[in-house]
Amino acid sequence: MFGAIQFLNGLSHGLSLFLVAAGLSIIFGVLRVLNFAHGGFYMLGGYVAYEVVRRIGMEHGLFWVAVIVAGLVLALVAAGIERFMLRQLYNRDQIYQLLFTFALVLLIGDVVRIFWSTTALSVSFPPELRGAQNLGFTIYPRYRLFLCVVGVVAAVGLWLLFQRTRWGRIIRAATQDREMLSSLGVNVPMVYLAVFAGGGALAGISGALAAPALALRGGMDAEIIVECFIVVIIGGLGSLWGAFIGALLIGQLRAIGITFVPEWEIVLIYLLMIVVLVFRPWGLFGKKQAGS
Amino acid sequence: MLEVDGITKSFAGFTAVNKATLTVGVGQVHAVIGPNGAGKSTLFNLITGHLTADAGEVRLEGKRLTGLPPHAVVRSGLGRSFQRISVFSKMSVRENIQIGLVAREREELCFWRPLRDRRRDTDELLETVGLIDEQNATAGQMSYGKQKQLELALALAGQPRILLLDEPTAGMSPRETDECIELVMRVVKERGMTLLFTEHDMNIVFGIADRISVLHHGEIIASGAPEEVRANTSVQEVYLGRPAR
Repeated sequence: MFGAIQFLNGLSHGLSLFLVAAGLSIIFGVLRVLNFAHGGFYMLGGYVAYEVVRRIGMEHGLFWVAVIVAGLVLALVAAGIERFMLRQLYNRDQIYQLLFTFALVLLIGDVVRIFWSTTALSVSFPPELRGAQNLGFTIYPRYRLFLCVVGVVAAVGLWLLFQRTRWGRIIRAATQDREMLSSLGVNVPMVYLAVFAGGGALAGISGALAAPALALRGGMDAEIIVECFIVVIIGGLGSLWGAFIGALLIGQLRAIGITFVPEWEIVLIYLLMIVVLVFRPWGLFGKKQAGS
Repeated sequence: MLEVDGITKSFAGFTAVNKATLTVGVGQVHAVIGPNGAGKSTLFNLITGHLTADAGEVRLEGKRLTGLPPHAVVRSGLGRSFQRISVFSKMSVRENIQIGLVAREREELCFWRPLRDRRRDTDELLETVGLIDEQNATAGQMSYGKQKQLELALALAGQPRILLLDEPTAGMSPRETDECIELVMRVVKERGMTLLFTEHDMNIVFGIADRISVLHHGEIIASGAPEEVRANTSVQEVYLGRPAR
């Protein structure tokens, strides 16, 4: 069952990618800031998890403690960045926000180099998810199956958050008219802070969960952010549903690419992005006027 | 009710509002008039915290508003509308109102609590502004007049004691204008609210206002009952251009 494995590879990659891209997309939708440092948050999440595991180990469910710590640390880091730096830039030209988040990329890269040097580090699989699972039609690594489940749960959870809760409604309203929202008595700066911190937490958790599946090294931030940008370009910036479909598409395309044209794998993704940019520059699920 | 005391705002050397002082009494209908660029919208934005004043102070029922962010001003009992259409255009009329209601109860942080429909409060507001039949329509696709009605409902969702309307009839047809003013006045009377508004249509201003303040080059050059303002010679010169009818 060669095809099934490729499909599952694509699925687990796509769903993991969704977790990161969703945060990027939500932050853009609400704050109108394209956060280049989102990949840095992801990388930092991975390193924080590594550090926690190194100190406390990962037996008896301690890996999950590391994942939660990574999410919390990145939420705090993001909150601090929004509150004390990014907030000063909302009324400036967008280029300043871009430059600022790009500076964060470099800063986070340096922090990682200083604390963890440049050699690749690895985190082993948590004991409860080691080995492979027999699915009947194929055998597949447990941890990757788990990543699929997390991606689906996160997608459903985010959907419920946005459609069914007060927060979701306020956040959706914030994407449409922040001035109006403040005139209704909503503390909009607080909403911005929460959204940026939430996006940071999502990226941190994603990075921590990805740590056992791939080696940690400087440069992983650039790789993931490029893929995330492609996902949101294909899906439409600010659209959660678009990020979901975009991530799944990228996952499958990479899996197919690796199987049939390994040396062209990454090119396939860029081609898809170019096709979307030419024919539907606002993305498959984005709004036509958005993204300016 | 509302006291504006010597408020001043400059933009890059240009003084948009200069030591403006006015007092709005409880239950009054107070109009701010003045030619385009006189500083009316700036004055409103200074009152609601959307702009920060260089000098001066705004007090609502004795409480200092100056320096508060917009959402805190709103929570002090003030509701406002903007000159441009400000509704959440991609949501339904009902969802719009619900956001206003959630904001009023300061529940936006209790995200774990499910979103109750608030049927009664929502229905009541929709009835008040006459949008009950359009409750499921997408806000941005309704007519201009109806969007303005929704905007009024949103301003009312916070149960304000004073309402600030910036050119409520701008861009409306004569018929929409009449309906809008009728609606606003009915709601203001029913709820015992105070109203502060700007308006370019002098028939409306002199028709409904108890008091009028005239803003010219950012300064209040006259303030008083309609007859006084009409009779004021400097107002006639600089603003009306000729003796008022």
